[in-house]
Amino acid sequence: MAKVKAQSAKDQIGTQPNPKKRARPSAEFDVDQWVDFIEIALYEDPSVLGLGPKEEELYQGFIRILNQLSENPGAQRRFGEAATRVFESVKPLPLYAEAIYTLLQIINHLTPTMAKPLVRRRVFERAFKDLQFAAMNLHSFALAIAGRWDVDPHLANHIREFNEGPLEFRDRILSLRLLARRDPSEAYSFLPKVISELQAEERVKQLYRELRGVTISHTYVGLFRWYRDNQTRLQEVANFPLFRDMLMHKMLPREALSKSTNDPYERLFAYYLHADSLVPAEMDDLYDMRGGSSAEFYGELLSVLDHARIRTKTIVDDPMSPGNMMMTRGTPLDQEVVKNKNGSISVDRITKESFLVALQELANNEMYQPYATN
Amino acid sequence: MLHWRNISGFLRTEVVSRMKDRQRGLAWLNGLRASKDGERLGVCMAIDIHSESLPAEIFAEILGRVDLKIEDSRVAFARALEQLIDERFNCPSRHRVEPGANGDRYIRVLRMDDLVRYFMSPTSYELEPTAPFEFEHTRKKYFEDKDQLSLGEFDRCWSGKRERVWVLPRQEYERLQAYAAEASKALPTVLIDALGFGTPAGAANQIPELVAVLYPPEIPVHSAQPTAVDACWFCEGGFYLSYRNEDSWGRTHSSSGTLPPVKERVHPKIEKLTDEYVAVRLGTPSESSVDPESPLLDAYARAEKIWPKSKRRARKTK
Repeated sequence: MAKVKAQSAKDQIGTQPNPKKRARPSAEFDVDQWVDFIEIALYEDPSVLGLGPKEEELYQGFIRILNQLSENPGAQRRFGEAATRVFESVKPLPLYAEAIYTLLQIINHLTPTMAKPLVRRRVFERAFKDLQFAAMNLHSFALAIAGRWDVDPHLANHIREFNEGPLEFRDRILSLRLLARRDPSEAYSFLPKVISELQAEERVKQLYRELRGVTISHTYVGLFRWYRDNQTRLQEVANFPLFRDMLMHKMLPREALSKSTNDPYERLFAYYLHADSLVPAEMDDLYDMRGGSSAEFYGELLSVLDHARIRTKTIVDDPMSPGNMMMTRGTPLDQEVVKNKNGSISVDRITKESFLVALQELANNEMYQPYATN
Repeated sequence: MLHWRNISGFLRTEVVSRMKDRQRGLAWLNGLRASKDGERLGVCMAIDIHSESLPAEIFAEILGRVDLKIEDSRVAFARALEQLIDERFNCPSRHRVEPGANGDRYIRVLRMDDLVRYFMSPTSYELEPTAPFEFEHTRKKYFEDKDQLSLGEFDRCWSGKRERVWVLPRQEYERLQAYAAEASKALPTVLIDALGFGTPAGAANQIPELVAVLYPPEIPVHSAQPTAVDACWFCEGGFYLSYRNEDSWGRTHSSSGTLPPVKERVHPKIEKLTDEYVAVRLGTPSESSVDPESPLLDAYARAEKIWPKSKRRARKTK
């Protein structure tokens, strides 16, 4: 009996013909052949993917095959259509979590046009909300992929609704990223919700990373304006001091004042944040930022100057305090001394023309009447 | 000299005989050599049992789950192993270092897109970069202008479906650094060869740069000499080889077959890293040669060193 069993078992090995398996991936595949190939790799035999020795994830094998098709846009398009069709047919069950993850990764790499409505539909349906894979919730992962295309008002509304209830912090961060993709100002409006949940140090760092990503793509202009215009209201938001500390010590530390950057708003925002502790050389540098700037930037620079004046006023009022030294301009301006007398600014021995012009403009500007030059 | 018949005979005696369904085991074993890289798997199993890294029972349990409908025995083994993701099968070697042991500092070498997948995606749903400008954005966002990134900010991480992390000791890393400098080669190119990464091809039609994660002296999980249970057997063309019990370290087989082996261990996932774990950018590897034949030769050479001569003779006379 045992012998019979052995023979039977042995016969089974290598005797399960599967015509689909014989077809190696080829640029000539039509959509149906790609569908077959993807389904075999996902559900039957991942070895057809030829994963590398250190690549254990299925989608990496798919990506490798895709790379081999990179010179053949038609083949890539057919592959993308096939992946979309398989994605459409996969049921949102835990059993298929890996398949869904893999297909979403393929869609991330290819962003096939026909996948867009489907991914968005799954997101709006919250079809994957109970599925986890790769330490991620697959609804959130699908939402991240949906943001690869445009974040239109419909998706933005979904993101806002998604955020109405309690969520993991990483979902807040993802939402911030996606809203920024639509319009950075939407992301900044959303920021108080994120700030209010800044409890652990890790979260502060995570928000820092995300804001860094936003400013790399959109410069600091929006963040600066939002912060300047909302600072009073922000004081009311829970954990605001953590946020402010993050801005001042991590995102725009003092070194950012003199940073070599193509984004003038990065330095301007840094000056705004550090306005109450500027040394004379830094004040000088701030004035010098006017050169060649647009009228809009100039206006904003004036607002920072004004902010700096307000910040330094109490220090400067006491001529014996170290704050007085902060307002004593250094050698580049030939020992010019700027003093504050009852809210006004006095300037002695002005030798640098640009500085004089700046102060004159300040004096002429009604908004800056507290300034006066002697 | 060892032959496949020695190996298969040993596996029959030590593993199949312990199975409840021996016919299944025999059928699997009979198909193993026909599978590409199946012979390498068989030799590695024999080394693991001989060196007492693993009890034969663990392989008997795996083989008890192989699906004989899968025509390729190596793939059937990989499939069966996939169903057995629990503590007994996660870095299971008896040659291990317990958590908290203050000893060798480890280094994990991975690619930039792996770093995103394992740390950044679980923490904030960061998507893997798919084009050069996205790689650049990710690098700027996380590494800023620096070459290093502390990993404490990533409060969740993933270690792959099988939750297994491969590491090498810092001394070996430094040895490879010295070798690269001496041979005027780029360190990343030397690393992917020495560690058996195979070809450096990556996503987005470009080769992502390599990153080394430097570990603190103590880690909160155990680490162990790698075994065949830790390796990935789904696909052919791997470079994993088991190693005898010498110092509780495994040994890599270089992709080109030309570099000397490097010590390696595996450990299960660490739930939460601290800032003591630091990722360092290493640069992009260039193409290097791969010798697909050399691992099997080396596998037999490794088995030869631990194979009792008496058993070898006995097999031969049979």
